[in-house]
Order: sequence, then structure tokens, then C-alpha cells
Amino acid sequence: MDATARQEVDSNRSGLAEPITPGMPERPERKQGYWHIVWRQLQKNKFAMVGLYCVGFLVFVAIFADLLANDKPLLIKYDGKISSPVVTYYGVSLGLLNYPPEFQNKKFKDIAQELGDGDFIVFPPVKYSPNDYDLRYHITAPSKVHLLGTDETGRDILSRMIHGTRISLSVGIVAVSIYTLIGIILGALAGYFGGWIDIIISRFIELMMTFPTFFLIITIVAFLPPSIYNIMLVIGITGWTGVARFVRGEFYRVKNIDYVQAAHALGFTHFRIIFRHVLPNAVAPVFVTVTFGIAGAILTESGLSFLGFGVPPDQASWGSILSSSRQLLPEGWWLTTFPGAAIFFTIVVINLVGEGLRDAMDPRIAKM
Amino acid sequence: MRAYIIKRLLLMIPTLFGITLISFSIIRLAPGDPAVLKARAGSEGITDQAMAKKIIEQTQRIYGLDKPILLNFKLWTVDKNIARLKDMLKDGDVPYEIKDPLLTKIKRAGKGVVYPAMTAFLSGEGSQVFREDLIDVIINRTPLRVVEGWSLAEKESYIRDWWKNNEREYRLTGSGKLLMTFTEAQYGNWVRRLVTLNFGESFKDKRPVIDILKERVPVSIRITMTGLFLAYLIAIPIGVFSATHQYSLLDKMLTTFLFMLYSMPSFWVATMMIVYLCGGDFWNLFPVSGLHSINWQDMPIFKQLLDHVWHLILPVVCFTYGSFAFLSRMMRTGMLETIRQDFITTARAKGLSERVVIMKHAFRNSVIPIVTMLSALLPWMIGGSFIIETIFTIPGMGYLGFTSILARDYPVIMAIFTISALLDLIGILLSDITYALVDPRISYT
Repeated sequence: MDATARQEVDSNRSGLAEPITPGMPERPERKQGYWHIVWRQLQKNKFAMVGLYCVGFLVFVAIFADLLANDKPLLIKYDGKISSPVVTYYGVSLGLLNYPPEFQNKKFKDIAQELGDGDFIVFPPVKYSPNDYDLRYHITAPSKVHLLGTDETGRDILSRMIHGTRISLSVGIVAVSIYTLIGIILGALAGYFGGWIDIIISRFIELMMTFPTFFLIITIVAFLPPSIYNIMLVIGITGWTGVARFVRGEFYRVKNIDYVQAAHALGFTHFRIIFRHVLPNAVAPVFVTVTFGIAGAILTESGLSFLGFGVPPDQASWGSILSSSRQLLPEGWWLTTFPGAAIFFTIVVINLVGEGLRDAMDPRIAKM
Repeated sequence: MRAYIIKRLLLMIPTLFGITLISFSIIRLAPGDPAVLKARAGSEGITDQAMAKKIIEQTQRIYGLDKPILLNFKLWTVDKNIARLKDMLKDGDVPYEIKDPLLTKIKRAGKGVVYPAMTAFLSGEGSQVFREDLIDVIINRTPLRVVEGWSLAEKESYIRDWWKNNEREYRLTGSGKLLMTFTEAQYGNWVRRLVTLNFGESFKDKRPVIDILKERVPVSIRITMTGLFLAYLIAIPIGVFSATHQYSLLDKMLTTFLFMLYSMPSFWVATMMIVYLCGGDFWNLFPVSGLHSINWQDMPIFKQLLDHVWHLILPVVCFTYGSFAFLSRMMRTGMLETIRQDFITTARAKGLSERVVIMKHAFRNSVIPIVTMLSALLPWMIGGSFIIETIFTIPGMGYLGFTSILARDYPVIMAIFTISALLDLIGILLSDITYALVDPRISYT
């Protein structure tokens, strides 16, 4: 029976029972979906919700870093023309736009001095770009000018930290996405097929777990040109063992349940059974691993940057700010305290969300 | 049980193979051939291409980098390649660029090149250039030393004499050829040297790597063991206390504190300690780096010990607190789960005192998984030693790894890789066996 014929039979059948309605047949609304329960449980957990809001705040800072800390004004009215250099900058860096001639080869801070009547200039909350060096402010402690102090080339620490949020969060998310993908695929293959495939993949997992991963990452990263993408990739390639082990176990559990047997009996392909039937039922708890994984990846990146193997020098990352404090030790407390606190804060809030999620997904609690 | 241990030991073999393979690939992954990098330093100013090539070949030979990487298949085509060379050179010499790729291919057969080359040489055929090149190849692959300025005839007679006594060693049989396919490759060489604990010589210090490791590894093991011991010693009682006093004020405070501790990056804690405790703008309580004070040698033995401990306090704290927080949390969760089980209710119903219920029934059952956490902690601690030792400049394996990576000292990097992976593997095996021994519920079939 080909597809169209089957559709006809289906529509005939439904036609017998009820009048044909145009469009999609209406589904009875499920009141208690799995994620619905999890979300309700999570909402009961005060700490997890605080963590979630804090993560939201960090994501906000990361996305709008350019508007929060920049040496270009958000808005300027100059010679009667209103423009937004921050936004123009995106076009300039893509090579699509040019600054108007009166702004070229000039610092906006100087322009701010020579504003005429009716002109105005609105700077972001932090008036420095992360790479704005100013040798007059070489290694200064926190002051009114630079709220969190400056580093050895007089760059503003607060601005670097705001832009560092972007690096840290994107490394965490991308690296973990890479290894979750690898882990799910390998774990699914091992758990679903068992036998030789399982033995080989399990040996591979054991092998990767035996390796001192951090040393492995440092060695590989040290040999590659410094770039944030290399770090994401290397953490992604080395970090998948936890997810793979977990997914493998879940697949072992799920694959003998009746509905999977039924799918086999219907003659579905392995591909379809793995991805359409087993995976959706096995993958939910992976989210807990992923959440903790993001914290771990952020930690690894800052550790790498701290040792000087991380991001290139012109990019700000919490780890690289900490790293610049190393030459000054034991002086320069602000270079150590603030970026480290940012890392600590991020890890804590992500771990809070992870713990909340784990508790919320625990079936023993969900039943209550 | 014995079957399980044997099975585990057998399964270690492929893992070991994988470990050596990954350690080995690290050196292949590195940009730039280390031999070329090394030779370049010595060959500045040499413009003659053939001469430069010779220097690079020499360096490569010393480090065994002139052979195929994984398996030597060049062994099986070497006869054909020699015939091709003979054909190419039958009307005299050809330009270096044309001849060189073929010569390199022939040389890559390693030790296996000698027999076919000698056969071709002894047959007396081929042009004079061909014979000169053959002599070159043979000398490259044997311990023969030719005095500069010898004539071709002198070289020939020298080689002929040598061959009479050494022919047997180089003769190729079918099985010998198969074996050489593995041993005459870089990977085979590396494994063979590994088994004999010969990690080669450090590029940087010009000392045998094994000697450097003998100095450094004990320092790291001492710190790791102290750290682990302290972590378990404090974590287990705290975990038990927290679980038995669940939801008390102290439990809540402890849980929060441990959670915070667990989330603190160790490199931050270490730098913060140096900034605030080691004489910056704040207190000056501890030394910044090293294992001893400068005048350590002159101190009386008791003071030496005290000085050593004084230097080790901060590193060990940084090294320990993470595993300590992790273990305490695990202990608390494990204990809570055990307490809720039926046999504990039974024990209480029997009228046993709370102390016996907790210490004898609950504690014993929940401490087993904690002990086996060792296998998860070891790789983590070895990774941690990297940062902590670097921050406090402690001459251990981690700091050695850091400086070796900076200096591109491949032999040392590879040795550290293998050693630390081996240590991990032994740790995992031990904790798995302990687990199987202690917990009779788990069957291993």
C-alpha cells in the first residue's frame, strides 16, 4: 500500500466517525507533560530559581556587552545629527559602513569635550572598551575612574570582565553542545546495539576517562594557534565520556521496554527507533549532566587562559585577566579578586540550576 | 572473583594500547617536525640542499623519526624501489629533486632495507652512481662508519668485509619481515622503549627523562596522597554528621558551605591565598613558592621538617578542598539514602541503639561507594596538580608538564602522559577490585 492510498483509507475511516474538520486534527491537551512537571518542581526550589535568574542576568550581560561597556557612545547628537556609533560599529567591523568623517581618527572622549549647544552624548555605563589601553593608568587599584582597577597596560578591568562574560558563556555552551552530541551518538550506539560495538565504545570511554584530561587539553591547545574556537573544539572532543556513559546506560534500560519491541515488530529501521523512539525517552536526564558540564567547561577555559594557553591576548576572558595578575603576585589584589569572583559566581549559579534540575527530574520526588 | 580480576586485567590491554597510541599521537599532532626544528638550529647558513637534508636525517635517526609512523609497509616494496632506483640511474646521475623521494622511501624501510640493498650491491650490477647511493643507504641503516675521503673501492671492500660477519643479523625471512612491519615503525619503537622505561632524553635538559621523573614524581605523589588522605579523613565524619542531623541549622550551614567550596576554582583560591596571605598588601603568613626556604640546608632537622610543612600548607589546602567538598557531599547523600532503607528500620525496630544503627549498619554500607570514588578523583587530582604546582612553583610532575609544554620538550611530555595515565589505570583497577571484594551483592559475570 503506498502512502497516498493509506492516507485515503485513514481519511475515510475518520470520515465515518466524525465530520471532517479542515487542518490538523485537534489533540486533547496534555495537562501534565514531563517537562511541565519538571518545571513546576523547579519553581518550588527557591535556590534553583535564584540561580536561573542569575544565569539569565549573565546571558543578558553577554549579549549586550557592547552596550554595557564601550568607548563609543550609545547615542550622540553632533552638529545637529543624531547617530549611534555603537550600532554603526557593527557595520564598520563588517566592512559595510564607515563612520561619518567628523568621527574618523578622533576619540569620542575628545568629541565629548567640544559639543555645541543642543548637542548631547550618551555613553554606556562603563566608558571603556576591553582593549582601550591607557598607560597613564598602568596597574591602578580600584578608583572612581576605573571602578575595578586596571591591568598592566591600563585596560579597564570592569569592561574586560563584562566582555569576558561573552567568552566564558559561549565556550561553555558550544563546547558542551559538541560533546553532548558526540556523547549521545556514541552512547546510543553502544547501548542500543550492544555486543562488539558496545565493547569497543566502552573501551574508548574508559580510555578517555583514564587520561588526565586537563593535561591532554593543555597539550593540544598549546600546539594549536591560540583561538577561542580551538578551545571549544578541544573541550568538546575530550569531554564526552560522561554523557556517553549515561546515554549508554539509559539505552540499555529503555531498549527492552515493550514499545521498543513493538517498533521492532513494525519493521522500523534502527535509525528511526534510535532517534524517534528510544532517544526522546532516554535523553531527559542528560540535561542535568549538560548543566553541570557548562560549569565545568567554563572552569576549564578559565584555567587554560589562566595558564596562558587560552584565548589570544587581545580577547578578554576572566581567566586571562586572572593570568595577568600572575606576574604581579602577591601584589595586585583587584586583578585576582574580581575576575575570580565572576568565575565563582557563574559556577555557583549554574550548579544551583543543575542541582535544582536534578532534584526536579528525580522520579521519587515528582510522584509526591 | 578471580575470573573477574583476570577479565579486568585482560581488558586493560586494549586500554593500555590506546593510552600509548594517544600519547604517541600527541607528538605527531605537534606542528613542525621536532627533528627539523632541532636540526634547523644547527644548520644555519648551510645552503647546500643535500647537506641540509643529511643533517636533518641524522637528527631524525637519533630520535627514530625517520621511520613510518604506525606500520612499516615500505619493507614490502623495498625490492621494487631498489630496482626502480637502479633503472633511474642506469645512465648516470639525475637531479637531486627527482632522486630524493625514491631514496627516502627506500630508507624508510628501516633495518629491513639492508638485506635487499646488500643483495643488489653484491650482485655487482648497476651504474656507479647507483652503487654509491646504495652504500649511502646501507651506511644510514647500519652502525657502519665510513671515513670521509675514502674511494668507492675502499668503501666497497669495507662493507663486504663487514657483511661476512653480520649477514645473519639482517637476513629477512617471512615472519621476520612481518615482525619488522611493527617494530621498524615509530610507534613500535616507542612502545618498545616504553616497556623498558626508556623515555629517551629531554630536549631541554639533555638528561634522560627517567632521571627527571625520578626526582619529580615522588613530590607529586606525596602531595596527592597527603591531600587525598586529609580529604577522606575530614569528609567522612562531616558527611555522616550532616546526614544524621539532616535539616538542622549546622547541617544547612555545612551543606551551603560545601556547595560554595565545591564551586570555587582552585587556581582562584590559590592566587587569592597568595595575594591575601603571602605578603602583598595584606598579611604575610606563608611563603609564596617552593618546597623549602633558601637556608633550608643549614637548619636543624626538626626545623627542616617544620619549614617543609610550612611551605606545603597552602598547596595542600588548595589541592584538597575540592575533593574534600565533593567527598563530603557524596558521603551525605549516600548516608541519607542508606538510612531510608528497610534494614535500618529493622535494626531500629530490633531495639539497637542509634549509635550502633548508624555506625555499624548505615555507615558501613554507605562508605563503600565513597572509597571507590578514588578512581574518579585520581585523574582530577593529577589535572589539578598541574595548576597548583605551577602557581606555587612546586617541582612536581604537574609543574614539569607545564614547563615541558612551554619548551616543546616532547620526550618529557610523552613520558608524563603515559605515567599519569598508568597511575590512573592502576587506581581505577584497585578501586574496582576493592568494590567487588567488599560488596557481595554485585555479581561480575
